[in-house]
Amino acid sequence: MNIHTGKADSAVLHHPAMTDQVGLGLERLMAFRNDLIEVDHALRDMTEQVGQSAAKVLERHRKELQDFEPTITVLGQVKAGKTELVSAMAGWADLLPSDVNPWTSVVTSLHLRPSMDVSDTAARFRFLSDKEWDRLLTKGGRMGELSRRSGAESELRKIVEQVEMVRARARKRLGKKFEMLIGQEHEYGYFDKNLLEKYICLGDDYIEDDQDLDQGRFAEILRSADLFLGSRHIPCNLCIRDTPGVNDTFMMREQITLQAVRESRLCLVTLSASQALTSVDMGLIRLISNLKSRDIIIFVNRIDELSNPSEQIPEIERSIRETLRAKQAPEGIRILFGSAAWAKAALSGDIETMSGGSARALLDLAETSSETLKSLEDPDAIVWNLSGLPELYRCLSDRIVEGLGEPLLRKVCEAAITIATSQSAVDKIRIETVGHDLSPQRAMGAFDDLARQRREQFSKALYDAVADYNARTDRAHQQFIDRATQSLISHLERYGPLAGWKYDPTGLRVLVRSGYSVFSKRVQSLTKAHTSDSLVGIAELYSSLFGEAVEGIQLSLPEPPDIPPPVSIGQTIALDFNDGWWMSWWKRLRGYDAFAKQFHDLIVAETEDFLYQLKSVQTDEVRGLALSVLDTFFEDQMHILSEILSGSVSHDEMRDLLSAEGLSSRDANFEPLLKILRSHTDAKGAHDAGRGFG
Amino acid sequence: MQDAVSDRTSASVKSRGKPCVALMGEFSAGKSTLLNLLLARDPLPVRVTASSVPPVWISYGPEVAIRVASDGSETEISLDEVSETTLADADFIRLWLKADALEICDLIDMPGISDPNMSGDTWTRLIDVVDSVIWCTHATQAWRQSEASTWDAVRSDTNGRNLLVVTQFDKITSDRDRTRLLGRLTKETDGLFQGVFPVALIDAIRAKDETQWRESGAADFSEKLVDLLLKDLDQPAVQPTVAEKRSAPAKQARSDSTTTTDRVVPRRIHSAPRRPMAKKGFEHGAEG
Repeated sequence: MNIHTGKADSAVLHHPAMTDQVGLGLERLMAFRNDLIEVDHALRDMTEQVGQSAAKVLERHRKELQDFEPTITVLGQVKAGKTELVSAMAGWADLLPSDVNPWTSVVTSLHLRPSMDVSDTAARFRFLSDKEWDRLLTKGGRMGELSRRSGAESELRKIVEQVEMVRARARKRLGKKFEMLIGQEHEYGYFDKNLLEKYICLGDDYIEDDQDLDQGRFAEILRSADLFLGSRHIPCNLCIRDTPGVNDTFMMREQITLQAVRESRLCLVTLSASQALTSVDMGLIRLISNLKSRDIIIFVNRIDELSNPSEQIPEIERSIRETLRAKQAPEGIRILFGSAAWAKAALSGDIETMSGGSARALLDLAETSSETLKSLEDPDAIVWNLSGLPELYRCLSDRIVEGLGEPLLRKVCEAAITIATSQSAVDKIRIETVGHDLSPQRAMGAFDDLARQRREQFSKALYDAVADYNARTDRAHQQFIDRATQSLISHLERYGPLAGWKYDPTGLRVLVRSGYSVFSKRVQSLTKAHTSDSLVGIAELYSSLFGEAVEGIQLSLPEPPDIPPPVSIGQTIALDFNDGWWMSWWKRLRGYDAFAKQFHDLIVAETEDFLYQLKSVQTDEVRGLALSVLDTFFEDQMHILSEILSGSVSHDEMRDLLSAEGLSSRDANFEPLLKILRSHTDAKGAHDAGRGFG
Repeated sequence: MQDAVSDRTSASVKSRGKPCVALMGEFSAGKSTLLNLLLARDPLPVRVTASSVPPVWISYGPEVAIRVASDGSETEISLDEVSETTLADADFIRLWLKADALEICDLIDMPGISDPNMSGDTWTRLIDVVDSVIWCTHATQAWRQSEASTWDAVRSDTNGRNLLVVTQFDKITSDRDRTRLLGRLTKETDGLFQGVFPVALIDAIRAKDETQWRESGAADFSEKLVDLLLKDLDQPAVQPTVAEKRSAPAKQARSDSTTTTDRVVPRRIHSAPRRPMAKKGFEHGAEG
């Protein structure tokens, strides 16, 4: 990789023969990209024909489209091949440095930009702030809390020791610079291997070797890395995030990874084929499983290490499916198989140098592959297909387009339609209002009253919904604790303390989740009811101000908010672990009463954060989202109203507008645009977007 | 064969004088393959996914397999049924085979840790009879926190003479990577094992001559293992294990009659290669 100067040679990206191949699977994303461009152009054309305020709103929506950047977070256990996979996905073997030992220590976001110029690179590195350091140190993360409660304490101590060691070393090594770097950002107009190693790799030799002292490495004090890269085969902005991985003995890496899960919508859980779906993977899936099910894809990497992949792959898939079903994982998780190593070999054009085992596995799989694949003549293309990358991209494209892209497009188009139809109303109103005595002050005042009143009502309704939900959650929690304690006591009475006991917390999750689902539905229907009320209010306002002139205007109801999934339901609690620690916990206690009491306290403490997240943090977020729907709605309406009101001031303008040609040409201009916009809302639009009033 | 069934507690009793070595590690880390290598035969099928076979405790003796249920009841089963047994059917399986390695130790194939469908404490069922542990860790994802923390809990139940085997070492292809991996493992497991041994298990099983056997890493490992076991024979566990305490004095361990008394057998263990020996069969007392 050599891109210091910004004049990259495209040959460094991948083998020339691969150029046609790397875009495979991205067809749907490409089609979506065209939709995006079409709508963006329609909005641009519209902007030129509307007033300033409406143009502002349209610009905001255009920016939303331009900023659209679906993010795929690659998660998994340490050494599952995440970094190699991320590089392969970017179509660039060896883009990110990887090593036989865990190396990645930072969440690295690779921002791919569609561009013919691969040298469109930049890098931004953010250092940990004081607050973030403290969080790593004092909070110790979920796993840390878990181990503290188990009495083993060693894990929490281990994290604290590691974090303190890392900080102390960094301080010693960087001296004064250390303090100066806290919370700072470094930006570069390029990146290369050296730069990346310097910032994102914390090798295993870090702990004992001081050899790189003078090189000034920053990985241990970095919070995040953002790399920007022009890509010829990626059709739209795409962000692929590489994480350090969980289950690393250097637990700071696990901490960093777990913190990234919270911000991830589309998660690619990477497993190693030689050991698919362990309890740690299951914990990770549980952690993200409260995102919509479509948002988890499992990629079983390293099929190149299997001795007989054509037979073993179905067996592995069956086993994973059974486990997912048994553990009540969400439905619809796609399971894909592949090999980042093969992808890398194909990209770099050196499939001949593959190791014996890898080549045998490849041949085995190639023999049983489809006829279409066999008919390919380029060996690199065959290997690329067998690597699973095209299928992975196909699957990702579907989920990006359906889950993120189309909803965004629909939302923007609906907003634009509202503006376009109101814009026609602006003209009409101007006609009708000649001679009328319109007081802008009165109109705006009435509008403000309406907005304030509706907001208060809505806010109160939301508070009530939250209170009901919290009460329900508390009941579920209490019930669960009572039942679990009861189960433990009867188990102890029957079998004594040595027999294994487990109490599956799934029941609690199911109860809390269904409570949340009721709450979500209620918030959505409340939003709908209140925005609809507000719309009627506005319609009445227009009507009383402008009379019949506003008849036929279409105002669309804003979409109710997307209620964020209750991620914290998935957070690991003590009961999820049937591992050794329960044993030691029992052994230290005497008497079943003590068991019961301790257990009760333990579960209360264990679930405290979990419940706090669900009852306070999550509900605050939901309330904020719902209110912002109404706020945005009023804001948009205010722009439209002020447009109408200000537009009625100038006599010359009015006269000009009054002429028949002016009117018809403006109307006609919107028709083709509206047609385009509507085609994007009707495609999937199974909802009542617009409503007329008079 | 009938004896085994009528002798109700025999399946829970240790072979006198022999150390008991457990194979532990994550599931699919190569435990069964290593076991097959040690026994130079395939009593247990090797699978790429987790299996829910309970611990299998193997001792020297005429071939017989017994399921031991959680209430202590014993049922004789055929060898083929061993791999079909699940944790629901039996607490553990006791198996007697005639294999060289078993003349100097009992072996226990423990269920893999981190199997999401198994409670994490299956290994505790037999931990009281275990003297040493061979911990298997898969080279490409070696020594993760789940292993480190389980080992932390297990280690105190052993006599301290334990080995770490890095399986599928052939998957690490460059010398530099091999050195770096072993360097990390040695450092991270410092003081936890008596040695770290990289073994290319499949190569070892396929080894046709001494050179290949040595190159696979199996030679170094088995020599060290024998060395440790000899120490066990010299210094038997000071305290009787729970299983021994539980057993009635009259009930002798099944394989007592075949207990080794000399050091000829250990030498046979590291005589390479293994496979040809398997073909020859295992005549009791045959020199290797």
